[in-house]
Amino acid sequence: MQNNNSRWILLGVVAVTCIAMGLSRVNFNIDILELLPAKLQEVQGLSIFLKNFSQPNELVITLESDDAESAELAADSLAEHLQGRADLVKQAVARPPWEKNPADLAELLAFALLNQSPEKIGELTTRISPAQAPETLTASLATLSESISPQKLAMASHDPYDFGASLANSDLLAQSQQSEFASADGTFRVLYVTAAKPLENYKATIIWSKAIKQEAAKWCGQRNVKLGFTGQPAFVADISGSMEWDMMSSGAITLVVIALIFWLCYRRAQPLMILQVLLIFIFTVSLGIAGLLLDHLTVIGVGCAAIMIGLSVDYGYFVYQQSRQQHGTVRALQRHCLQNIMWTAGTTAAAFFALNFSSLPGLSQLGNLVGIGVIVGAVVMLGIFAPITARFHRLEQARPASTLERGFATPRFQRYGAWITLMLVAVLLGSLVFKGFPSATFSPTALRPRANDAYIALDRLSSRLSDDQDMLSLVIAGHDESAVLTRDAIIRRVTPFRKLGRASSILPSVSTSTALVESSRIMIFGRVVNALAIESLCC
Amino acid sequence: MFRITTMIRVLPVLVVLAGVPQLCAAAAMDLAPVKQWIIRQNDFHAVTADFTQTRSMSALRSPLENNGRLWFKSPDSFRWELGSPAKLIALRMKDTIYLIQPAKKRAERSVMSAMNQNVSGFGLGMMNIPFAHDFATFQKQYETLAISMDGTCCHLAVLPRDPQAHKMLTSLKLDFNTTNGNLLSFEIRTRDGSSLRNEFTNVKINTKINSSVFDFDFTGYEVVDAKQ
Repeated sequence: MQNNNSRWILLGVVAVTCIAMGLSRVNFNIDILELLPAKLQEVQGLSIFLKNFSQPNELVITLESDDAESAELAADSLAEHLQGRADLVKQAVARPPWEKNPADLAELLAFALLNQSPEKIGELTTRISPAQAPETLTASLATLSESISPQKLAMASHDPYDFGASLANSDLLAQSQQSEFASADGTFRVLYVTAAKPLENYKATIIWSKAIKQEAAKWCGQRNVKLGFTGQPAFVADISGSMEWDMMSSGAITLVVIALIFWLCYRRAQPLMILQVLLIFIFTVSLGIAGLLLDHLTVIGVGCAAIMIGLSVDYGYFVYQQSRQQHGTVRALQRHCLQNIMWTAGTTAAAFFALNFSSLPGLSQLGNLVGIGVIVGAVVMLGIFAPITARFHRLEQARPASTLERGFATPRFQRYGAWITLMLVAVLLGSLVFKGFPSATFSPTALRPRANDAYIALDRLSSRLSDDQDMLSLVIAGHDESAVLTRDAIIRRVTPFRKLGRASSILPSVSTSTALVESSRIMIFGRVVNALAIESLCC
Repeated sequence: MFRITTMIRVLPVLVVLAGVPQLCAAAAMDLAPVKQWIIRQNDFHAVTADFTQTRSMSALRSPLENNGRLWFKSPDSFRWELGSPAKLIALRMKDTIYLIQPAKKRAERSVMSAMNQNVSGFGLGMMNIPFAHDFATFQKQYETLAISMDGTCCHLAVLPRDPQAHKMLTSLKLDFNTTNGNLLSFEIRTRDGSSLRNEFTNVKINTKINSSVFDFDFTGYEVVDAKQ
């Protein structure tokens, strides 16, 4: 007897340890890549991009106002307000840094200049050569004297040797036309807010995002501005938080509904409570087993608690109903239920395991977890719930059937029930004939969470700032810069890619890299003569 | 108690004193001369004038000077020449304005309404005639920064309410003669410290202008649409 108890205790400890290990592997963080088919090249490209360029600690705040001036002032004010919370914010940026300190842009422009084609660098060399320099200056003076273009006047007065002409058609200047901080009409502004400390997990992200939103709301007060929050932290906070809530709430709601139905049917508190505890136990054990057996387990897969509970409770109902009608031994009850439950559990589990053929990892996980849950549910209901309910009915004195039970058992209900079912089927089939089949949506927006503020703000930002929805992004990866540049050059020789702009205009191209040393000398010379030119113009 | 009674006695004085700066401001910003000038401008059907344009820029120690001439005939004929011989000609034909560079045999074509909306319109270094159709339009389009009188000369400083112009300009300064309504000078000041000033001389109002002044032979010219 003592050995038997020790064995059960040991088995329990091992089971609890395994479950705890499995549960520890459940990851609530939302990694969008884990939800997408990993074999797709698009996903692999996105993975490389996010790995290198994602901003997990940068929240994007959008701000809209009726006029450009108030929007600009409000954005600066909000940035200053957030900057005041050093415990929350590392930096809050509401305008390009070089607007406040134009000199900060000089080195970037100089580098972009060095990255121009050898032909353009040649033109520049000629333009500032001792023989050509006076003529270049005279042309700049003529521009200053005659032009009516504010842009030309500004350029000529600060760049008399026309260094900027080499950048006139560059990708860098083309991109600079699209501000990342304001819409063309200025009524829509964007702030980039970086967290004071790295956000380690979704819980920290939720807390930080909430704190920033509260600060922004405090700042907003009676101001007539509309704020939106997006960026990676906003998505993580919104989706992870809502998924965690979904999982908890859907499971809890299912348990409440089960309790309600059970109470209406049987009006027995003790078996109901035991059934509820066992359902939670089934879910926990299934989660633990899945955590141990599966490579990945994200919140998407875990979010199927309601399905698992809903399927497992069927076996519990069946066992309970059978135990009421059968007054034999526990073994007899188990044998009686075994075939029915195993058949249904087997087919249901097989159907869910078949989801492994889906290309979406989230669906595969859901299938595996529900499949495991259904089998665990069948075993628990037969192995644990059947003896409990059999003992319960043995001890309980015979009680009259409830009104609902009696109602279900009447011949009238069975007769009308059949007719009602037939009519329902006819109505539903008729609606299919007249209204047609529901249309399938293949848009990726169908996978979006409902009423997600981060998505709404991102859509608004895309529509107001720049529309790159028709743009195809090409991700080029390599072991080092030269490998990336070489691949970039090869891809550019392929006809369909010739019209592609380079995202990183500041990277030197292979063709110009050999001219860098020479052009660097030109730049140094250029800086000297530029200074001299301004002096000469002043004279 | 003392404080309360003192306050009650002093209160009327404070109220009056508080109103004084506002009254002074209202007096200082008396825009009656502007109103008169705008009304008077509506009687201008034809204008010719010579001007001297002075461009002062932060990068230049000495300002650049150019002479020019302008012709205006209502409702929409306009010619503006900079330099002699002309280095740049702005020619308005109905709703189209041409910026002509004779030396380069090149002309840029713009729609006038678009140019007015664009800040570059101020780059012409000239003002619209009339400056505003009526006083209400003037107040809607411009914020008055300062106004002062010097004999018959009114000095007016305004700033366009247009946000784009606001970003670039600090003020537009106009001097005009309150007796005959003639514009004496027009100056644009930009945020980078540069300025562009036109001083008008030999102004003739409602004089006869030959219509050929507003024609231009574009033969041999490359005419392109301007980038707005």
